[in-house]
Amino acid sequence: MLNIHELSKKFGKKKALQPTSLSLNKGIVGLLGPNGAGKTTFLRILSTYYEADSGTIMFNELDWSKDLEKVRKHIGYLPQHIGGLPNLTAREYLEYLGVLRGLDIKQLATDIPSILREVNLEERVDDRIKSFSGGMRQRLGIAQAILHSPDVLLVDEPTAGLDPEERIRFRNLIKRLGKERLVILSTHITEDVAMTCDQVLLMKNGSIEQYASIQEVTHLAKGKVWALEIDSTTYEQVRQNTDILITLTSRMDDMVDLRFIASDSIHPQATPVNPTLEEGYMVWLNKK
Amino acid sequence: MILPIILMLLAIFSKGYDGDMPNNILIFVVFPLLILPIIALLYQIGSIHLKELLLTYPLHNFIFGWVRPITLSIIYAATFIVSLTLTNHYTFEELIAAFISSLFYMILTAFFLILFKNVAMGVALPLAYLFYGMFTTGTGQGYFYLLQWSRANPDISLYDCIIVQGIAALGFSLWGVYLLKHRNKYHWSL
Repeated sequence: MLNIHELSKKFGKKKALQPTSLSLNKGIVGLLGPNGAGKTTFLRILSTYYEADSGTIMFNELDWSKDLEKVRKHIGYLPQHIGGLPNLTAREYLEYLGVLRGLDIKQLATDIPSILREVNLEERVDDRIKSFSGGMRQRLGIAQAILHSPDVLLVDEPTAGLDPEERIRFRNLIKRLGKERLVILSTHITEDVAMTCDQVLLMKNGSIEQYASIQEVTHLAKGKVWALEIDSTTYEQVRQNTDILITLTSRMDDMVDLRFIASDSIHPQATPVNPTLEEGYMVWLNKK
Repeated sequence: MILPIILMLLAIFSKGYDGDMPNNILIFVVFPLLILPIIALLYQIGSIHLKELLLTYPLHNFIFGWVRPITLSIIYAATFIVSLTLTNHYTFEELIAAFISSLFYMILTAFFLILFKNVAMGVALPLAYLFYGMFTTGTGQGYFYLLQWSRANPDISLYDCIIVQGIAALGFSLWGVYLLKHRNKYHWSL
């Protein structure tokens, strides 16, 4: 279990991470928040890239304030921007990073093919990285992060910039990896969380709130989401209403289907509907 | 890694062609390029694309930050003074000074690279320091002047340079290990 107690971080006067306490078990945890919320800072502290200003982090017996090198052996990290070495093949890249990590070269020769199979890159093992698509590079990034079978896997915005097919493939990979370890998946895409995660951490302005399930987040919008079918003229009037937040629209001829978040129905034909994770998240974001 | 070695060989082989050429190659080309092996050794932690990942990898700080740079510096500094010996007439004290200055220069490179975690800084700062001293005969650099063994500043003694630069090299190398050990704490940038 990962136990975090009163963890905080400041850059100058800006509080990037407000004092935070959490306990996380094995499984996939979605870290969801808008850009600039502090998700990367939080992951960088967990990955040992940054030192926290205060607070403690413990994973079983491992203590971030004592033996960082030992902690690092148990963590796999995929940063937001991973690049370089485009002329290496997938196998050479993993061998190189494995050696830098201090892994045995003979063991690596055995492990690399199975890890590349795990991330569906077994057919590209001897292809150069420069010929890989964005999704394949991300999967290779995951391969380096699980090369040493870490107990904690930290993944920062992995699906940003991927096409829908690659995104689905990546989510399936994360789901598989989450069966054996704690995975923290940082993203601002609610669909990633809805499709893969067991627990959710919502983050804004450096503050984190923990939710035990996706349903708990969805529940935040219960009774506040409405569906409505109206003509285009009425739609233009509804759009001007600043008390509502439109979450979905679809047009068919002159009619518009829309979903919106509001504390009360703003139209006699509006009917309450079950909220999605995104709507729960939007309600949480707009909460004062 | 091998470029300084190739240039040292070039200097040695050019001895028969031009009297000043070997010395000029060694002082003005090879000596500044002694930073390259250190950059090759430590560039991972200064790479823009890889550093965030690699700084979170487990490292044996003493081996990565001290043993390897010191060993490599000793090898290249020794090779450099062998080249000097084969091409020119230097006194024993001047050769020791050249060895210590090379060592100090390479350790300084490793230190800047670890401090700023940036290859550009690891290249630019030691080069700027060296060339400033080269063009001003060490004005303001005191005993830290790197070319006292070749273009001597009359106000300082060679012996003092050896002692001071030797101690400084040891100090900077250990400071580098400390910075590496606490690499999650210090994130300097310019």
